[in-house]
Amino acid sequence: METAQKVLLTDSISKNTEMIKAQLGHSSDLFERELVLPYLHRKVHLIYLDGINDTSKIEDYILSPLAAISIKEEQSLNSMIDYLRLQVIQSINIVTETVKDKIVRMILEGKTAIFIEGEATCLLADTAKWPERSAPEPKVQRTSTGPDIAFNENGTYNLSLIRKTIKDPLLRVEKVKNPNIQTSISMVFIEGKVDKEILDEVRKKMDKINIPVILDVNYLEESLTDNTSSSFPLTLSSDRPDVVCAEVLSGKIAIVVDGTQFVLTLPSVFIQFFQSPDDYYILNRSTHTRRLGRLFFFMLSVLFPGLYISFTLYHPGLIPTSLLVGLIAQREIVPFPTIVEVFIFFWLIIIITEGSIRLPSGVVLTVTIFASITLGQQAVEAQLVQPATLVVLAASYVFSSVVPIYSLSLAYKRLTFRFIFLATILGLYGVLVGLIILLLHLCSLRSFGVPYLSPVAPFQPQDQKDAIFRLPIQHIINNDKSLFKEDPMRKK
Amino acid sequence: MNVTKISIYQLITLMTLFLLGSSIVLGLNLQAEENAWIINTGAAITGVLLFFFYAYLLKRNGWPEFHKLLELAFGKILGKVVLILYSLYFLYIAVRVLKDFIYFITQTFYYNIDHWIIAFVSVCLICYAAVLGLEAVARTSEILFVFTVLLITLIIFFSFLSGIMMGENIRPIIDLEILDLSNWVQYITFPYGEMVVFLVLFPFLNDHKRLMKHGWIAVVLSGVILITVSEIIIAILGAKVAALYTYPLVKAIEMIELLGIIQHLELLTAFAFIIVGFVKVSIFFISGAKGISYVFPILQEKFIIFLLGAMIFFGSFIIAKDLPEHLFIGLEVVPLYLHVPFQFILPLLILLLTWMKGRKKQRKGV
Repeated sequence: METAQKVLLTDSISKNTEMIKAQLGHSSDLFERELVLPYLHRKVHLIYLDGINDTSKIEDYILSPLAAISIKEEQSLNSMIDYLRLQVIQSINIVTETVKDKIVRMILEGKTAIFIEGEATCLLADTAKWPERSAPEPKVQRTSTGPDIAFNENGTYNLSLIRKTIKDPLLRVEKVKNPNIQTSISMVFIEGKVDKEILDEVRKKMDKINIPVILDVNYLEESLTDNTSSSFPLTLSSDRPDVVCAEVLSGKIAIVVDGTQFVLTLPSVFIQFFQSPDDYYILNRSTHTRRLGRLFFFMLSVLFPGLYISFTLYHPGLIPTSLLVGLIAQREIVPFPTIVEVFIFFWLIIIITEGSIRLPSGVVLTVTIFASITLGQQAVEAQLVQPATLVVLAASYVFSSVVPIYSLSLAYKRLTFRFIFLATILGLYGVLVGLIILLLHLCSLRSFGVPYLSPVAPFQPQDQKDAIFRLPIQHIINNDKSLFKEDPMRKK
Repeated sequence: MNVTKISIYQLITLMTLFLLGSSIVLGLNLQAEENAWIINTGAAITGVLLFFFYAYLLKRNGWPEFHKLLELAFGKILGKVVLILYSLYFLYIAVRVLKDFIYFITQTFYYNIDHWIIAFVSVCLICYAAVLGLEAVARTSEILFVFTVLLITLIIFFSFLSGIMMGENIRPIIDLEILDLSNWVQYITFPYGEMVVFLVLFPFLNDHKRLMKHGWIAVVLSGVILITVSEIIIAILGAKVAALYTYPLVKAIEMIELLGIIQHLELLTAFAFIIVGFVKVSIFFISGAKGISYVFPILQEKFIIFLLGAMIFFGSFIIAKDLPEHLFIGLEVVPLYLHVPFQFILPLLILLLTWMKGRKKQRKGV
């Protein structure tokens, strides 16, 4: 459809520039500079957007060379453009274009358009200079050791960080060519290591996306994965170049989106969300304890409130007597049933978390003080709530913080809530049924054809070197993960 | 097109959990008292032979899917009839195990909750598993297997540590006077004969050679676990007492107490039982559903699953009024009139018929 309405440039320079300016609505940050070529006496117009262009580049590489042209004889008409492109303008990236829409788009991408009198072709030189911040520190995925540099919001810079680490001629950067997306997206992978089928699937899905502006990788995360109803993230996004490079080196695909400091990697499996980069930066001692610990405490944090309810409500006989005495003594003086207490305070925890993330940093302190002192301590003293309930919920919340990757810790709320619900109606049996359902769900999930729980289920003996246990570095590097994959066409 | 594939690891874990289902908590052949281990060993050895028999049945016909095997032996129409009979048999056993499940949970966890609530939740769980399919169940069983082994190890460990096991209880080790083999049908049909359901699952393996090589490990493993557990029960409770209880394992484990903190370990047995029970019911249910959905290809698979789910839900009320009746049917009626024909007679018939057809073909070919 777009090809049908292709508007081409004309020979008249004023018409051309007027057309471009009209398309951009005579925007006030659209600058036009006119000059006349010496000796040749032909008009030249430069059009560019102020703010996103480096004016000194325009002056140095376009204006002054043009002003210094010293040939007297007119070149033949078609070589005029070539002459300027090849010999005069000294910008590194320069292209020719005749279609209006494409020119407009390139101007928006930070190029300077050069119109020459009597030419139906326009030269576009890259003079972009985007506002960017200097290399920040990783904010979301912090580690105690290891490289301390993070991606920023500039896609080119992010790519350069990956290039800096992986100096492999087989490293490929592939730009996504989807006309519906204005944001520049690049896929990074290593030829030969990457799985061709997964790559093709990602390409196909990328072509189907119809979102003009992609503000964050999550836009892609949701568009690329099939199962968005699951609480579990099927892709991994990180702001750490070392994490992304490690993923790319093990044959995965990284997706760099211009404008966000997060880089998406896929496919990803469940166990990855319990592996922190500093597992590899600290001498290999008891990595498996730490990983198992994270897994265990994550599960505990999800189950703890549910277990508390089911034991106090349905199976008090199963609690050791000395503990039971204390619990019953607390139970006697408070007005609400345990379930109501748990629900109220679980919501309170969620609300306080929301508040402390969103509020201006000055107010956060006030909120947390009110939350901890008034809601916590005073509620107990006013005999509104059992101290045990508060301890259980707080412990559950703190345990959930062991997960090194934030997107998984979001699943905590949903899962905990479900287990509280199941425990309320069915006690311990409900919790167990919930666990089996959770396992079944995890086992049925796939991230781009890779079973989510691999290499544990289905069990892959060759991939155990770096799953829960981590062998010494020299055993796991140079040893590709096999990324056991299933035919995506098959039925469930 | 069905291209479900499961690996040999998954099959071994499925089979182990399947064989442990029900039998671990109900206690295997404890009425044989001190001789239980001899009978259990004999049963396990028969179990290994049975495993090879069922595997051979499929192997010599080139690993066809179960319905194809039946059609091969009985012809198109009669094959479908036998398939329906088998599916109903699987579903009936599923209901029986579900009933075990319900009685067990109500007796150990709660004392005043309606049976239908437990039944309803369990059926929902099993339907969910069936909708996700055999692969998801097989993967789940890989993880559940680790948990079960861990739980059983803990139980064994604590029972040794607590010092309530009496050496005298398991003596005399061999008491030939009371060794009674007249109940042999019951000994080999449960749980080992129930492996007949794996005739449905074996064809889905991705590597059939390794099934013949490693598959028997599951039978031996579950045999060893069952023998160990029943000996521990006898050592704690004494042979005569153990035979009296419906859930002797729970009773035995209840007696463990360590340092005043570790008590109520019967929870662990409850967890283990829910896991193995879940695997067992799902295997029977999925196999039954597969058979039915083959006979009625018009109906959607999900619809069949929900239909059958509702069936086993209501079935769990019909099959027995109370626990004694349930156990009586399970021990006296089902083995002789259901297990023997479906586990031995029909498979032997299949073997015979396919063998004869094979010979006919060979003769024609020559």
